[in-house]
Amino acid sequence: MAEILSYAFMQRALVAGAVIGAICAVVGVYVVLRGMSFVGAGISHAAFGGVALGFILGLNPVLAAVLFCLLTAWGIGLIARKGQVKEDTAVGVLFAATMALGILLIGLMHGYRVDLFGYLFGSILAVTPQDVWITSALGVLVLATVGLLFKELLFITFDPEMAQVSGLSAGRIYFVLLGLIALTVVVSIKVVGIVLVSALIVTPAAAAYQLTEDFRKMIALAVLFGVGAAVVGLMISYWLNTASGATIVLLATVSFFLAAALSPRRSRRHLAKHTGRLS
Amino acid sequence: MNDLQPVVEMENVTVTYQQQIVLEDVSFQVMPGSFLAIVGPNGAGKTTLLKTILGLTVPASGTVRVFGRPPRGMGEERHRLGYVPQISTVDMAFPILARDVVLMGRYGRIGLFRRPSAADREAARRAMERVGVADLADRPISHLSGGQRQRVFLARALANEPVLLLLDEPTAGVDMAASESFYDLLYRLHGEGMTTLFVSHDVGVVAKYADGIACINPAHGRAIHPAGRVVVHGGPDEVEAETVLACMYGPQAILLGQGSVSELWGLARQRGPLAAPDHELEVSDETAHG
Repeated sequence: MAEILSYAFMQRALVAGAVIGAICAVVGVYVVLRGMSFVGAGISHAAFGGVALGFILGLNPVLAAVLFCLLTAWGIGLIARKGQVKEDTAVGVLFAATMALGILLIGLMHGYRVDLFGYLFGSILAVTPQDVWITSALGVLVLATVGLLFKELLFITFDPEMAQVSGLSAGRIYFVLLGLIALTVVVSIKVVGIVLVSALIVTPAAAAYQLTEDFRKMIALAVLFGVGAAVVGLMISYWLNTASGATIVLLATVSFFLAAALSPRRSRRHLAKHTGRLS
Repeated sequence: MNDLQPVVEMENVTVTYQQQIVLEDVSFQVMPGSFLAIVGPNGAGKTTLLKTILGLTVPASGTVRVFGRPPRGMGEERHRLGYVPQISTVDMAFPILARDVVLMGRYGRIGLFRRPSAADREAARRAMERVGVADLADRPISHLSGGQRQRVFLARALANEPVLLLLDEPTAGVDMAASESFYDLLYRLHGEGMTTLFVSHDVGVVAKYADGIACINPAHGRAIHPAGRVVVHGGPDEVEAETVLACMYGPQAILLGQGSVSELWGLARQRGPLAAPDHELEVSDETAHG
């Protein structure tokens, strides 16, 4: 235990992992309750295009991915809000396109072998001191935004129409939420990887949803599951020498199934089915 | 504001959705103190009418005024407007406590970045007391019965201290006793000065409580009032039973069981909300569509 903590790379990974676990969980609560899981998956695949673009242009790949993911997220929002197609169709179109762009760009980089596996699946060794700073700064930004817009985000998640009637700009808050998802995805890719980050957003929140019917408790439980999975997952991945992202996500998945098995919601839903509409 | 000015005014309002006309050339007014029922067959545009008043839907032509202002530029007047949506539009498995739902009624007033104050919580608590759900404050909404949920959503609207209340089929899916006590409550609020506009499918509710009935007609081919698509009648005393029933269920509606239309109307006026299996009061909707 102490031995793990004495390695600088492991300290960095654990700090970054805890921050990531927390912000993925918080943002995930809104994603799960609004039914936007596919948006999270879509934006994370767009990060691949952003990372590739960063390498080609000689920029910091994480910062390039931030810009690219924000643009993709708001692109999804714009298409969905204009009502031309549904949100999930907009994601379906854009996430394949941005991923394809990334693959194309990587193919053009002759002789330059990037550690793509690390970006795709996450790696403890990949977290540089600079990454810890970027992760922490973006993490604070995401949590502060959620804190400041707490009631607005809750309102548009629970009842967007009523939020609009009350004079809140439901559309703008929706774009803020998309921006938060994009930042969360990018912050997480070094540790969890592009392919798996959407699971770290959805799974802890989904586990928390099984165990409580109070919004604030759901956020607290999701953070507990998210940080727990990230920290314990990183340690296991060190001991077993497994991919960190995969280990973290599988651990979160185990917690989800445990929560689902213990869920008080399950028995009530069963009851509701039998009492029908007259409940 | 002058008491004699209409609270809601619509002039030649036409609303289209995906190139289809939903409301055509609608003109009507709601005076302060009204208890107005909006009736019409499924798909006639009742919800659209409410959404147009709320500013959620922008008309293709015509003018809408609420408290003398356009719905999207109401400023502070917005807080005088309360809305109870159709309960089916909200996810009842959402993890949230009843008191937090009611507190949302204050969010528009509180303003961006701010937290609810003690005064906001107090207003929410009073609203819950007013509709008799103060004891349910700490319960998650998924634990509430249909009637209790409706009262919680009514409390949310009241938390904002409105003078105009819009309700979209507030008792859909709620059992008869709960429906009756809900309308008794609305009627009491109306007695305290609340101008109320509600969409209903229930002949009994309309007959017993409304003091005005706004008919939204079905598609043109079967229009009862070809000139416009909304006609406001007087209360149940003044309007002919046939007119209202034809408007609610379409002109081809037939009555099942014994009795005439006017007997049904008389009975409905005494009873209020209808019991579904009561064959005396059953009306067949031959023109049912979507």
